[in-house]
Amino acid sequence: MKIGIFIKQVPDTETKIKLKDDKSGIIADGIKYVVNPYDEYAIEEAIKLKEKLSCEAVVVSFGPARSLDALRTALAMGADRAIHIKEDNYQHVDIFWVTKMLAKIAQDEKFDIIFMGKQAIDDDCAKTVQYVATFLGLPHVNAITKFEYLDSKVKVQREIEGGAKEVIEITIPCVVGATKGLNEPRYATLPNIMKAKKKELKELKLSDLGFDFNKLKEQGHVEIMAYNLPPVKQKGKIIQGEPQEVVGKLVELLQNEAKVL
Amino acid sequence: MGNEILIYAEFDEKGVKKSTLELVKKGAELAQKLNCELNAIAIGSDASQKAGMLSKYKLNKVYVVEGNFETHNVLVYTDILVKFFDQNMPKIFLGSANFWCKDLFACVAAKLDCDVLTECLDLWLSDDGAFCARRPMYAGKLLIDIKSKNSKIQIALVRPNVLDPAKEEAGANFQIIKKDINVSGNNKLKILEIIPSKSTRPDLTEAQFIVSGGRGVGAAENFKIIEELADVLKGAVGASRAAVDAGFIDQSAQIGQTGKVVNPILYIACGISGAIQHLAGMRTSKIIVAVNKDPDAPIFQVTDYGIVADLFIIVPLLTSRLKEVLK
Repeated sequence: MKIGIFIKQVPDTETKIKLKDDKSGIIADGIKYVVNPYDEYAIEEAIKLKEKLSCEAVVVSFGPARSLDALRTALAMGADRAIHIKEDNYQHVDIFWVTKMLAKIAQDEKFDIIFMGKQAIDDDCAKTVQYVATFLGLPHVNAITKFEYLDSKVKVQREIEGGAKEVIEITIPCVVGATKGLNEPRYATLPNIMKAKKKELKELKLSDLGFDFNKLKEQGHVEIMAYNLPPVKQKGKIIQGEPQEVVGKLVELLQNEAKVL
Repeated sequence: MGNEILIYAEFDEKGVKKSTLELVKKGAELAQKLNCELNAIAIGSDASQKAGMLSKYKLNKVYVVEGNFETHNVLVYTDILVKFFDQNMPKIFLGSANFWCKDLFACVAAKLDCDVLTECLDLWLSDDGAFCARRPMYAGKLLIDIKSKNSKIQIALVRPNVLDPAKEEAGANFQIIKKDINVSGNNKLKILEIIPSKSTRPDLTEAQFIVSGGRGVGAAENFKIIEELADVLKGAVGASRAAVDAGFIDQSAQIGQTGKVVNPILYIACGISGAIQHLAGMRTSKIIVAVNKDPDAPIFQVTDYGIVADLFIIVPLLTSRLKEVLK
């Protein structure tokens, strides 16, 4: 049994995104980068399983040099070794191609169960789980809140629309996407952070995986034409008065001005 | 490459889903520009009957794949769509960015070795005929305009409640075309059980009216007043992360950057301070109302109407006033 964990480093949720003056991209200075929050649940569940089965857990990430920090966090949480697909011009590589690379590594490493977060909070594309699974011909379940290992199968639970829940069984090898509620990710303790420094961290270039950066850029599926800030809301009104009065005014405004009732 | 725009049609107890009608309206616009057909596909055990409901709208054809397929099984539905596309590849394939379609469309795209554009807020064709979309990044702190390239088919998912739905306007030559698809056996994924929701309220991500409670609600029992207000509006109940972490309500109610993204026509935030992560989940609501004791709460930066007062006084009053008015 070998476990794979795919993670991404993303800007912290507190980040105030600022556009460059020429609107050609965002200002990266001053951004604090963290492990994608949903990936933390994935790492935790993977490590719990690794500890239960006494097997190997390998963490993988695609990104620029700073992705190393995210990988080290995963190693400190208990992963055995890390693989960094390093590309400084990462913004020119589509998610489609990143998932092809991850699938290649999964194949080479022969991962039995792949854990990752249900989506990355920077792009919210929510398609990596499905792309990796489908490229590998494996079953998947995304956004799981319960995980149970059953030898040749995995039993998971997830919430779907309207609050209903599905209980699903998939065969191993498989891919699962983690979401909040699956577990409580552990903190990396100082001793584990120190231990992590001695763990193997392999750096791969795109060419090591058989990919040509220029070809990928050319064969990209998506080109960003413009970055826009969201529309600024017009300043609203504060309704003044005694409670009954205020409520009456609000309902009247909702009916006649906003016309939402 | 075919000469049609294809919509993945979905239905609910009321009939054709509003989110499907939003795709029909946008699809019609694109079809006109491309001078091609606007068609839909309905899959399932009563697909023919459901397809009939689409005759009220300006579609050319509805393809029907009828059968007792294992609903909720994404591998089965992916197989059906891929086999359908083998016979019939549209130019553009559209779906609504809901839980099911996000799963299904990503699998279909990967099988076709193509990309799917998710969470689109708008779709258009550029002057040189390229398929373009606007989608959020960084939880909506940025909106990017993207152009699709190197794709034999354009696949996109549109966020519900952003575009206007199509009005009833029957097309001239509406046809229902039955398609027989031989579904492969699948032993990799099995749905063991579907545990129905205990709630009859609408799903948060598709709700038109949402009332949310924050840390200010104080205790789980107090959420009752939030629920009563939501019920009078026939809406859904949401919460901030603070309320969820404090144990007042289940995390399925969480709205925000690491919760659900909602887009109602009316969002009422009660006792929610308005942290940047919460705003990320609801800032596109058409009308935002907030009730908070703190006049400096950041939520008031995004409200259309703000009430600086005790939510325990205001919310019940609002519920009773609305009961009278909405009778």
